[in-house]
Formats: sequence, structure tokens, C-alpha cells
Amino acid sequence: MKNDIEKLWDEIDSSFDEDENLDFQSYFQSKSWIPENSLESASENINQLLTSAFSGDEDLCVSVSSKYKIIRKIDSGGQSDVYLAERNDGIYQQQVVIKFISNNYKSSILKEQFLQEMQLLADLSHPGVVPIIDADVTQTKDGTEQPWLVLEYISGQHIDEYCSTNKLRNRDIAKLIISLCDTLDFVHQRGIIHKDIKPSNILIKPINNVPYPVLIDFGIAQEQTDKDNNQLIFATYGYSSPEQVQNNRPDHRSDIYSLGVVLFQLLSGKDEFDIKKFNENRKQSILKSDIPKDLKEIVLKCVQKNPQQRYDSVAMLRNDLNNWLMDFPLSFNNNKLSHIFVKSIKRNKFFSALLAIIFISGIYFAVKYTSDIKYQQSLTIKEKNATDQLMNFMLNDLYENLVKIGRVDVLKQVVDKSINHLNVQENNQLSPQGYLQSATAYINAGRVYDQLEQSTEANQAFLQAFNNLEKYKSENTQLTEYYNLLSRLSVYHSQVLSSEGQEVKTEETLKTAVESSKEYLLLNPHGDKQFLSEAYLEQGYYYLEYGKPELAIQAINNNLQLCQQMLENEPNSANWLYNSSHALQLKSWYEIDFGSLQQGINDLKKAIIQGKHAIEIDAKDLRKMNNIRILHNQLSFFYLEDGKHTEGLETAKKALEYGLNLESQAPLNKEYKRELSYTYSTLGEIYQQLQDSQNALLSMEKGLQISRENYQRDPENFSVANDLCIDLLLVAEQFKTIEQNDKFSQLSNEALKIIQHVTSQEPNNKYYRHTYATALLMLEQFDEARPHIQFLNQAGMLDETIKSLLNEKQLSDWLGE
Amino acid sequence: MLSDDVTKLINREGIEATHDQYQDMDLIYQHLKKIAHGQRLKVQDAGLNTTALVNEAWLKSQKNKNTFNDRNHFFAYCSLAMRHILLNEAKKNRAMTYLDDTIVPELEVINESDYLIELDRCLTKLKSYNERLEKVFTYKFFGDMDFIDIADVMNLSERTVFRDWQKARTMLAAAMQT
Repeated sequence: MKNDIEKLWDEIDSSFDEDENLDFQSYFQSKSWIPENSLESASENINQLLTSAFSGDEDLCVSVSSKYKIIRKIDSGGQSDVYLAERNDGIYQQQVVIKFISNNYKSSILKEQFLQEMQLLADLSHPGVVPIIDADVTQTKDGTEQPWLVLEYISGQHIDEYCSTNKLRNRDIAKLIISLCDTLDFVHQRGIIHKDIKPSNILIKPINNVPYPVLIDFGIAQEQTDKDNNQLIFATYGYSSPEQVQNNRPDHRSDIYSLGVVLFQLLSGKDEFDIKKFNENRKQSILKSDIPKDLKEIVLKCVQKNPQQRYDSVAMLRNDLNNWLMDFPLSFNNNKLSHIFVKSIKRNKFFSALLAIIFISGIYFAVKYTSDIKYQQSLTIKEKNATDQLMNFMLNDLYENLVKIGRVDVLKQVVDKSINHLNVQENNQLSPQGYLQSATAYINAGRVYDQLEQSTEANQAFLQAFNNLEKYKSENTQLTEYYNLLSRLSVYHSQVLSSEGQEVKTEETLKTAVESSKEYLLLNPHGDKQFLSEAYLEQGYYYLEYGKPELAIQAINNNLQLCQQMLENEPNSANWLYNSSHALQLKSWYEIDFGSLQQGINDLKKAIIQGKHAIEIDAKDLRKMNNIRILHNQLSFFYLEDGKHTEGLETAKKALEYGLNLESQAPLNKEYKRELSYTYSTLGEIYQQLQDSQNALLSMEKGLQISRENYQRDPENFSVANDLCIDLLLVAEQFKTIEQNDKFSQLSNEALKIIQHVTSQEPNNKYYRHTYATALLMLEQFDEARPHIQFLNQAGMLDETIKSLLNEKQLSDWLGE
Repeated sequence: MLSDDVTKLINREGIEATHDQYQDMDLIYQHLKKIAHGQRLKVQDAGLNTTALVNEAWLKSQKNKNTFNDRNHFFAYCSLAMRHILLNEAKKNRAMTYLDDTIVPELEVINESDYLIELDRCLTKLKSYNERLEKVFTYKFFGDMDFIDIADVMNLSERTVFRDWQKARTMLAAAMQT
């Protein structure tokens, strides 16, 4: 179908063909039209434009706009026209970039949306984000709306040019990308996605003489036009993620994809042209390139087709780049043992010979353990012992080293295999030495499971260890080793039992732990007293938890005395400083429940001094750093209880600093995660007390998120479930203060349901009962709450939380019951 | 000064230049601008005209002996460059009016800019209707080339070029009227 213009042209065409003498004037005369313009030549018809184009007449700029003076065009594309300009307001000189976004905003709603988004960007104040100076939508003469924005002009090279002209090494490229991750993390946390990450949108600007990448040109406004027109896809081929190209809704993981492509481009030195072809053969191009293997894996992880298989967040990508810089294993390589060993060797020359042996025997071990069961059953006792020894060596000595870097998770594969192996051996008649080794293997395996918070598997392993020890005892009279192992086993086992809330069994096991440690030390007076100390410590915790203060303080004092004795002999023993700080920490808990809060705070301060001393001696042990973090967590909580909010805030912020540091060094460690969530919760409560409800909600929700993840991973762990409930109630309460009542009731009911289950399993745990009562009071189920309040009153657990709730609900007369 | 491909560009590519060609145009632009500056000092109020500009550019390039050996192709190329330059300038001028709501410019140069942007839109349409008409118009209107020179560049008779020019002008004027 021809349109009107073409029909008109057809007509003109034939008129001219029919009449040789017809010309411009005579045609229009014949039609009685007078053309607006003679269309002679540019010189005649658009002379002022011609003159201004060639003379660079600056007066024109001034007479058109009092705000900006356009200097030259920088870029034009399908999406926008971009100009370099200067402020024209005479206030101060500043070069700016003006971007006119080509689209047809037609409704006023879109205008509002555009301005809202610009406001969002304008609020992003970060050195890695180009600042927005001005933005608006102008109604044009022809009735369409023209959105435009003014950005600060960043004078610097694009990141790819910068890397190639300066011949950057991989390490420096990684550092630049780490800075970009920081910026993107900041941006993503505010719910904004860049959507167009590519080298031409990353400029390198020196900030205090350090090159720093600055993100320009957010694709934020474009998405709105896509929805409107539907045919416009906002994507840059090669850099945009598959979901973006297919016009599916992109999220922050699309940015991770693009960032991965940029990382690959910079490392491999490829140009934009190569990258345009990248999508077709992603994996092959990466594998074929000559960049270091770990960086290849990082890139691959970023550019997975399925967003779920990419990094969850830029923070995780940042962690792995950092891991690579520091020669730590990558976060997702946790089951590739060989990888870890190579990394460890590289990192720590001292252990290299030792680790090489483990590595080689590890292969032998893995092969042997995967061969068929019948063969394994026919293994001779001698072979069995050799294998057990090797396994114990791996699970014990390696465990000690891995726990220091918070990476016990890498042992999961070994431990699963060793449990299989041990189960196969079960029916065989073993030598006494064989039983001892099997017991050790089970103990080690249980400990790894416990560290991985797999309590069911841990429990089973410990029970098997116990069975093997009993078999050993029944055939032996020399019991030194037996008691030594039994004390270790009992301490570890009690930790699992108590986290499962097994009241009676925990108490029995702890008695066994203390008694067997003493038996062992009688038989071997110079033996290691570590387990006696741990047994006392666990005992103290246990009695505190179940409301037996006299027994608790007795165990605590026993432990403190032991630590003091040991430190008198060896004042610089990192381990005994560490033990002693643990003992003091527990004592502070005792003080807050049954003694004076002030004494508790003093104990904690002392514990922190000892803990710090221990770190100075053994700086590489993350466990000791975690200890300091826990102590700060606790101290901030104590300050909160004491009403010293300023001190509390300061301490909680320190705990957060330690916590984030630990998380970046060991992102997969669940225990560390759990402690981090405590920090957030306490921080939230302190903010709450300081009437800063925005920060309060922000911190509490972060804490809640971690608690939720922990619970989903280990739903049978009551202590984890209790943590989740506490966080749910905290956030719920916070929502209530800002009058979001539906959120309040949703979260508090969720908490009630979980804690109801936990208390029905463990009715005598006063901490669980405390949480339960709080939930009931908050939901105003007073009749149900009453018996719990009475129980808590007897257990000395009526703290400020419960008391103020009772006051609030006008039930303070219950306090006298 | 210019790449050998320019002749090809004129015959084949029309106005939509590639990146490299655009850079060539940039060179021509700088060149023209320098000349324009001198001319402006000479002519003062009368304003610039393209013929003088392009002619002087040609004479200078001949003096330097480092450019086209074919004057007509050089002129044709300059017409394309001129169309680009003027369109960009017009867009820039219009863009400036967006930035400031407080000023409603009734300046002639802004009207001319709007007019040229519309003309360019119609020219692009004309290209898909009849490419030859679009080319003839561009050479004549933006480059002020003589019919005989256009005929030489396009390998047509002078009469055909003249008829095409009348046709194209009429068509464009009519299109812009509607």
C-alpha cells in the first residue's frame, strides 16, 4: 500500500514526464499552491544555520539557553544523542554531558516515572557512579516529549583503553573489577540495576591518584520506554545477558553477566568486535583463552546462561576475585579437593611438603573408597588400619588447618566417603587398635558434620564412635587412650546434643566428658588439658541454659582456675588465652542472668583483651577473630541491656566490621553467618532505642535474612530455629511501630508457629520458652502466655523485654505471681 | 586528506556514512570551517555561501596536491559532508531549546534548524522512493554543484539531471507542505 506522500510523488512524477517544460514554479502555479520555501540551495534557504554551523557562533547558545552551552556532539546512537556542554549560568565553570533520550514519552505518567528514576539516580552518591546534575522532560513543538539528563563530565579513558595502554597485569585488572563490584553492590542494594555494563560505559578517573572506575550511562530510563513500545529491546549485543536480549525482565544478575564479559574482555585483551561474537560460543572462548584457570572459572560463573547458576550477588563475585588475589580457594570450588591443596601449597610454603603428601594420598584414598563394596569388605585388617590412619590424618590435622581459615566445608566429600567406608567395615571383627582408629575416624567425621551444621549425621557418627570405644574397652586394660578419646568424643557430642535441645542426654554426656578427662589426666599427668577445659565450659553453658546457677558458676570457676594455672606456666599460649577468654565470656552470661550486669560487662572487657592478645600471637586463625567478634556482639548486647546505647552502637559497629571481614574471608561458613545475623539484630535493637527506625528496620531485616537461610538449611536445629523466631519477632515489632500491621501479624505468626513446635519438643529450655512467651504476648494470646510467664518468673528469666510487654498490655500484676 | 574510497561512497552509499567515512567528513568539516572563518572576515553581513566555501576548499586541496584528482567527485563529497554538518548543527540547536523552559526562542536560526530536520526526513523518504532524485537534490542543494558536474559524477546527461532536480524539489516542497 502506497501512502499519501508516495501517491502525491507518483502524480508529480508523471506530470513532469508528460510535460517537458514543467518546472518547480509552473507546477505549483498549476495547483494554485504557493510553496513555503523555494528550495534553491542551502546558502539561500538556510543561510543562518549555515553561518552558525561554520562560525561557531557562541552568542546563539546564550540566546537559546541560559543554562547550558553545547560544545560538541560526543555520541549518537539509536538510544540517545549525547553532547558535551558547559554550564552557562555564569556561576561556575563546569563541563557536563547532556543526554537526550530518543523516545516518545506521550503520557504524563511516564514523565513522572522518568523524573522519579532520575531522582533515584541523583540520590546515589558514590565515587563510582557519575553524578546527575539535572534532568527534565520537555514538551516539544510537535507535541512529543523529550526526556534529557545532565551528568557530570568525567574526563578519563574507557576501562578497556586504560587497561591496554597501561598494559595492566591480571592482578590490577582484578582490583579494578573489585572496585566496580563495590559500586555495583552499593547500587544493587538500592534496588537499581545498571542494565548496560560495557567498557564504553566505564571510565577510569583518578581519585587521589588511584585509578577508580566510574559507571556512566545507566540504562534505567530505557526500560520504561521498552514497556511502552514493546519493540525496543534495550541491550548491547555481546555484553547483555541472554535474558536481557530475549527481553525478559533483567535483574541484578544481568549486571553480573555483563560484568563477567567485561572482566573476560580485559583479561584476554580482546576487542569489542570479538566480544560481539562472544554470545555464540561463550564457554569455548573462555576456556581457549590464556587467562589463569581460577579467573576463567570466575568468568564462567558470571556468564552462565541461567541466572540462578551465576553468582548470587556482586559481593560474592568480589569475594572470589579477592580470594584469587590472596591465593585462597574460590567459593564455589569447595568440593574440588585437589584445588584446595594446590591453593594451600601456594599460599603457605611451610606446609607445602606436608600438603603434597596429603594431596597424593588423597587421590589414592578417593580411588580406594569409591571402588566396590565387596572389595572393601575383603580388605585385610592391616590395610584397613592404614586407610583409617590416612583418613584420620586428613580429617583431624587438615581439619585444624581448615578451621583456621573457616573452610571446613571442603572436607564434606572426604567425610561422606569415610563414613561409607566405616559403615562397610562395621561387621568385621577388628583388632583393639582397629576399634580405636574407627572411633577416631567417627569422632573426626562427626566434628566435620557438626561444623557443617548437619546435626543428624553428626549425632550418628558420635554414637558409632562411642560403640567402637566400648568395644575397645571390652578387650583392653590399658585405658589411657580410651579416656582421652572418650573425653574428646563427649565434649563434641554434648555440643550437638545441646544444640538439638536434648536436655538429659547433654547433662549425662558432659559428666562423662569431665570424668573421663580427669581419668585421662590421672593416667597421663602431662597430657593435654584442653578437653577438660572444654568440658567445663560446655557444662557451664548447659547449667546456665537450664537454669541451674549454682552448678553453672561452679563449672565456670573450675574452668577459670584451670586456665589461670595454665597461663601462669605459659603466659603467651594463644590457645589458653583463647580458652580463658571463653571462660570469661561464659561468666559474663552468668552475671547477666544471676549476678550483676556491670560485672558481666567487666568480664567481657577482660575477655576481649585476652582474645586480642591471642590473635596477636596467632593472627592467621579465623576462629580467634570470630571469638573477638562474638565478644563484641555480646558486649554490645550488654550495653543495650544497661541502657548505654552510644557505647552499644560503637561496639556493635565493631562487631559488624569483624563480621564482614570474616564473611569476606570465609563466605560459606555457616557459624560465622549466624553470628553476623546476631550482630545485625543487636544493631537493630540499638537503633530502635535511639529512635532511628529506618536503620533499625534495615539492620533487623538483614539479620532476619541470614537467620532464615540458616533455618532453611538446618530446620531440626532448635537453636537456629529460636534465632529465626527472635529475629522474626524483632522485625515484626519494628513494622508495628511504623504501623504496617499486616507485616507485623504475618511475621509474628510465622515465629509463633516455629517456636510452638520447638517448645513442644523441648519444654524445659527457658530460652525457647522466653521466645514463645514473647510471641504469645505480642499476638495478645494472653491465656496461652500466662503459664509460660510463671515458668520464666521461676527461672529468673523475666527480663526487660517481657516486663515492658506486660506493662504495655497492662498485665504487670502477673509479675507478682 | 581523504581516503580513496570516497568516490565509491558517493556513487554507492549515499548519505549514510560509515564510521570511517564519517571521520573523513570530519576532516572536510574542519577544512571547510577554516575556510569559512576567512570568508566571513571578507564578506561580513552577506553570510556564507556553499559555492564559495567548496570552491576555496578545492583550490586549497589542489595547492597541497594531496587530495582528489577529480574536482567533481570532491564537490559531490563535500555536498554529503555539508548535509551531515548542517543536520548535526540543526539537531544541536534544537536540543538546546529543550534544556531551558524559560526561554522560547523565536530565532530564525532555530526555525531554519527545524526546517532542515524536516527536509532531511523527507529526503530519507525520497531515497527509498527514488534514490537518483535524492542524490541529485543533495548535490545541488547542499553542494551548489552545476548540473553538468552532477551529470559527470552520476554518469547521466545534463538534461536528465536538470529534470531530476526540478522533480525532486517539487516533490520535497509538496511533501513538506502536507
